[in-house]
Amino acid sequence: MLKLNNIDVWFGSNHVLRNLSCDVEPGDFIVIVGANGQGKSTLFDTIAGKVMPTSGTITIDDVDVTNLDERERASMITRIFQNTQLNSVGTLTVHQNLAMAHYSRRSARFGDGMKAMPRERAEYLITSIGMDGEVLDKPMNALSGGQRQLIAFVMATQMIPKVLLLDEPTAALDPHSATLLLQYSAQFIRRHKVTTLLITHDPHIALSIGNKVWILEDGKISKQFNAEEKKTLNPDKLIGQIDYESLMI
Amino acid sequence: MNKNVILIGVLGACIAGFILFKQMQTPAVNAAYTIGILQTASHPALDATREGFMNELKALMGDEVAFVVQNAEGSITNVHTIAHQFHGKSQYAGFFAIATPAAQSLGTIEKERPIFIAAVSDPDSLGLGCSKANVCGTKDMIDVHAGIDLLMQLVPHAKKIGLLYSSGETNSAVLVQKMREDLEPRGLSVAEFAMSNEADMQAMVESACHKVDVLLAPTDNMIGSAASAIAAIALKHKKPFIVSDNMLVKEGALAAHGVDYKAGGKRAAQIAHEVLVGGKKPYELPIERIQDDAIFINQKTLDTLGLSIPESLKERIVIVS
Amino acid sequence: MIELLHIVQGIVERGLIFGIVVAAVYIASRLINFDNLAVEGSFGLGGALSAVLIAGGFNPWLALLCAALVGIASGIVTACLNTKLQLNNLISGIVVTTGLFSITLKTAGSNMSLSGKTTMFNTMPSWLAPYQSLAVLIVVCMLIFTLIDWLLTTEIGFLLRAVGDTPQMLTNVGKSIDRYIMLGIALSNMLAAMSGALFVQYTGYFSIWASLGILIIGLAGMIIAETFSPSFGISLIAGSIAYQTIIAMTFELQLNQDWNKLITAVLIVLLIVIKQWLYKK
Repeated sequence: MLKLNNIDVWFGSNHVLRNLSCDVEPGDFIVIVGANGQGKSTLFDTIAGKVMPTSGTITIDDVDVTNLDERERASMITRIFQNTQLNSVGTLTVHQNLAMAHYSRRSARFGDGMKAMPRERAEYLITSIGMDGEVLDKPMNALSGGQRQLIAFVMATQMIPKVLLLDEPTAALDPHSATLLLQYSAQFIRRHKVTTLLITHDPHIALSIGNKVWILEDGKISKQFNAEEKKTLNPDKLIGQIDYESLMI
Repeated sequence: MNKNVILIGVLGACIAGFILFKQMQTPAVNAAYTIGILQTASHPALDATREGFMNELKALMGDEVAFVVQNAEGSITNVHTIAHQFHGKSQYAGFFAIATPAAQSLGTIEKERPIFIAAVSDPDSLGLGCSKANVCGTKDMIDVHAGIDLLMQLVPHAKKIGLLYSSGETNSAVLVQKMREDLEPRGLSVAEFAMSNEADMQAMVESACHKVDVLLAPTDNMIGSAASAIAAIALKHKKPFIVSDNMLVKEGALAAHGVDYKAGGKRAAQIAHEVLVGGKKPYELPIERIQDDAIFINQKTLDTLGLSIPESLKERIVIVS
Repeated sequence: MIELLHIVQGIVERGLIFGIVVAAVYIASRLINFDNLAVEGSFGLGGALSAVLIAGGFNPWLALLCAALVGIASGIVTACLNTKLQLNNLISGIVVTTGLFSITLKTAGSNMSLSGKTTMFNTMPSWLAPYQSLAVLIVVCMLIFTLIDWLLTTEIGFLLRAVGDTPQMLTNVGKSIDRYIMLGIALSNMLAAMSGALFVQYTGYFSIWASLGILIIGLAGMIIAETFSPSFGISLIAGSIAYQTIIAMTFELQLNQDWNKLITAVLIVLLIVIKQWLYKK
């Protein structure tokens, strides 16, 4: 349902995405891996509309969205950034942020800003990710990175998007928060059959979540593995790993 | 208790105590008349006005008069703050307002005690000279015709006149218009040069010197402040610079048949004396012009420009070097 | 004692008028993260327009409303320079203030007297007159602050608060960053213009020089206000009043006038230091 056709993206003289084409089927949960600098975030930027391709088209459910900007695509695409500060407003409280998540897909009103998120519902949402209701009145920037990212996920999933883009969502998190986030995501995606793309550096996550794995290399999707083929992949060889031996004194 | 409340309480008490303390130490307790002087800004013309007033009133009343001088440094907000605070001082017998904003603010706030004004160009347009007002004093409205007569006599070959003024100045634009109306029928062409702040002055004057034969300025505070610099540039280009404030001739301008601010302050003091001691009411005394017959000429500038003083003016000339 | 009350009244009145400028600066700098240098120009134009209307016999409250409208227009221009023509925030404000100087001059000349005209501050019978300015200003400020406070609790208000902190969030929920910047800056300039209109009626005349230094008054008031509370509210007026108190004290000291500005500077530092010291305890 998400098709990229012959997408070319240049940054100055750098040809980042080269004639990239791919087809995401409805309900797919695709993990995208690749070395740094290969263009993974740029791919997401292009799909979301932050970056415009120099040539090629993007369609969602057969609707051409290539000429829509990021804001216009926001009603169809939800993106969670790696930098958690971009996913919520630091100076507003958790409760206010949760309310703001409901302003999508309609115009903002002069009514009470919190009306969209009654207290009980907010408390329910917070406790379902394992946090205490007290946190609702704290400003977002007073929380830890892990807590903030988790709440960002809750915010992003208040509306059900056509495409969900998860850009290394657990990269800055400790293992416990990372697990919580991935569990929550998996549940949400499964329940609502959301078409999802996830970027990660972690080979174990890559192989344990989602139904397909794509490798992004040289600005293209060089290899695609479906659910069966995934099982044959060696996590250590997938992305490469830190050479621990060379670190020993 | 809330820390903010403590802070405000402590500060409030300090301030109140301080102000009460200050009130108990009023200066010159012996003086029968304390005059509050509100000077709009620091500026040679306004400083001269103040000096003229203070010296003359002191000479007339000796120890019976004391002065409190406050300077708003050009800020309208401060002018109004000082005026408001003056109004609250019931022991002051009267006020002296120097320049238009001071006169206006005091005029708005103080309706009973006399306000003496000086260095105000057009008091009537400000509604200050009306029938029941408590305002009197002097105005610095110039005689445009006389000033231009002087120009014609000193620089008979001039064809194009540059009028320098600042765009925000009360009455400068009006005076410039009057000058234009006087110059054009005489067959002279006129170009206007306006600056909105002192930083623009140099560029403007340089540009003017290339385009005109003579520079002419009305009474204008900003031009006055920059007068010596303007005179230097004009001299460099060998262009005569004629002003309307006699004091500026000393700064390097060629000549003036204009107003003497110190004399304006002095005359305002004499008027004040008539009101405070002589029992006159302010509205009985019309606001007077301060221009007199003397013509001021700067000898050095005159010589550098290669000009000479015509015979007919010789008796009225005051040479300044 | 009576004189003390009189001085305090003056301080509070000026504090209220400039408290509105402090609000203008706060909304622009803290909420929208867009330092609005057009505040001075809008203050001047608001004053000029209301002076012309009042001199012409119009209702002074109507004049205040017109000043508000002209302020909104200035704000929209400032924001458009930034969002549509990609001019830097500061330059947008500078350009607008510079241009507005000429427009203001053309509107009211360099000085316009309102002596004898009906303003918001001189309509009451004489026994009530000394308190009219204070009462009217309190009412106007309360109205303005209550309205803005309410606005900041609405959905639109939340988005306004977000656009300076995390503009990406607006995009995430499908809202236009440019539009909210415009709203915030229009609001800021509207307040500056209204303050100018009030000032002109308070002093009884319009002067082209009155708006010089308004930005500093707004900033100083805001910084002092933030030592009380970082959010929008009465603390902004308190900061403005505190700054006016310092200035009034400088004049009360009646020292050699040339030292006035230095004394003001020292008193500001003292205020902030005392506050920090009190909080360390």
